[in-house]
Amino acid sequence: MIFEIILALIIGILAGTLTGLIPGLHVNLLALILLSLIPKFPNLSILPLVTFIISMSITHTVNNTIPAIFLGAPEEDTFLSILPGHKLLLEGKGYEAIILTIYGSLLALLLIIIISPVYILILPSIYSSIKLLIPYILIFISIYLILREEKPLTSIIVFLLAGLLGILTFNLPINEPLMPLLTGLFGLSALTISIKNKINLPKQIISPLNKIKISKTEFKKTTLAAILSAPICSFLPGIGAGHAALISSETIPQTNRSFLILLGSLNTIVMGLSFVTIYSINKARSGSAMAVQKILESFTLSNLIFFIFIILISGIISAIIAIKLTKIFSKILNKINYNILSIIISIFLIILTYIVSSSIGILILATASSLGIYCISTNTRRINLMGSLIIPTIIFYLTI
Amino acid sequence: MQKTSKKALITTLFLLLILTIYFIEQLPLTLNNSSEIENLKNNQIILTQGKIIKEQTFLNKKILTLNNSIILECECPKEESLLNQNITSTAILNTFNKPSLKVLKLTLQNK
Repeated sequence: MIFEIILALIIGILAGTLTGLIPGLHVNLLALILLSLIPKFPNLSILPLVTFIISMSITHTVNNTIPAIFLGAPEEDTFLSILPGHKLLLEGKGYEAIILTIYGSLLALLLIIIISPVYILILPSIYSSIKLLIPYILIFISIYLILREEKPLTSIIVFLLAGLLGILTFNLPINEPLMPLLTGLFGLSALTISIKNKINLPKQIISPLNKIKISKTEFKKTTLAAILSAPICSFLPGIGAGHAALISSETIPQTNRSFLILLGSLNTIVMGLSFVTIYSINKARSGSAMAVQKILESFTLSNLIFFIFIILISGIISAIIAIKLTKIFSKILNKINYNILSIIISIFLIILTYIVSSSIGILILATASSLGIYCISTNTRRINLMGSLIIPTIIFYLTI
Repeated sequence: MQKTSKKALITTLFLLLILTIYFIEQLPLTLNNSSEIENLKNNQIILTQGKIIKEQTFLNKKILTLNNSIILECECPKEESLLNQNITSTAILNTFNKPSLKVLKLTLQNK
């Protein structure tokens, strides 16, 4: 059994690295495909299967900022990393930006251990009240987000149009609706502006790891923000790392660098706690957690301790792999003309959207991209584009 | 940049209009049996007909099983039984967690 578990851990880390690096290939989808295949292999043991899913999911969250920052191809948990990530990339610090998110994932491993016991104790009693409070928290944050803008009118336009686009996207018959929506709003729009302005990417600096540091104040702010927001965004459907990042960064202001660490940590904490949620309230909020819940007949405390151990091991190994991969991709990036690369990536994203989400996906991608361009060209903060997720979530929680 | 922003806003509004029209004017797909559900996408609007052979009430919903084994979730009045009725229904597919068909419109064929 031990050999099977170690093998499952290794394969899980490899699979998670792959899903993290390839835009559009989501770990939840793979977990659910695996779940559907299980009846065909009745001799498979439960623990190695669950080990595979957990290690794959955690590894995915460590690696998925690499395409988000280097290619502008985000997922629902990484799209906000594009904003400061792209800025640092244009300063030749793309490597540093990704390393900061990996630091965040490592911080998350520690926070998962600290938060889990409290989470298990408190969650069953606060679950219903938080569920009722979520739409009002989001309404409050949205108003705050708009009012603190220099140009509130433009900000309202961006926020509401993004909201309308989100509502339409989530109600159309389309595979992976988030892919064209987020790629357009945060990825393709910035790439288009880069191509139009013929931006040349400076040489990417590969700094030694001991030179990539943040101040103690930034570290404290990031940790506090993650502790405050991640638990409330880890057990409700439709609420994820993006929402957590918005809530926490609007309440505890972050610098670009600390925001990247925060995003990396939220991404991993939200995934890690989704497994703890099954034990605590018997509810699965992600595809991976749902697969684990269905495989396990009963979820015991010893299972939970074992799974947290798997989260730790896979998190540490995948961070080492992610650092190596980031270095390789940075070197590759230095050898390519960024303008040509932007054109190639844009074409790749359009083709990928068509393959994954068909022609409606292309229409959503085009709409989202032009809204993203409008947002950039009016100098409105791109966080207002979060209306695409916030408004549908508010409607969802107010109508259930 | 001002020119770009104007163009981008007009393009966004135009594309949003197309998406809205597409959303409103979606044509339903005809569903003949439950196995066809697997090939459909989330939010697909479907049209189905059949005889209700089983009717269960769950919270404020009715779960209706048709003779072609299609199961519909309907927020219909609890008092009125639909058992053994021939119906035509427009429903929307929700693939989250477990695929389910939520009734948008239900008409009795023999009325």
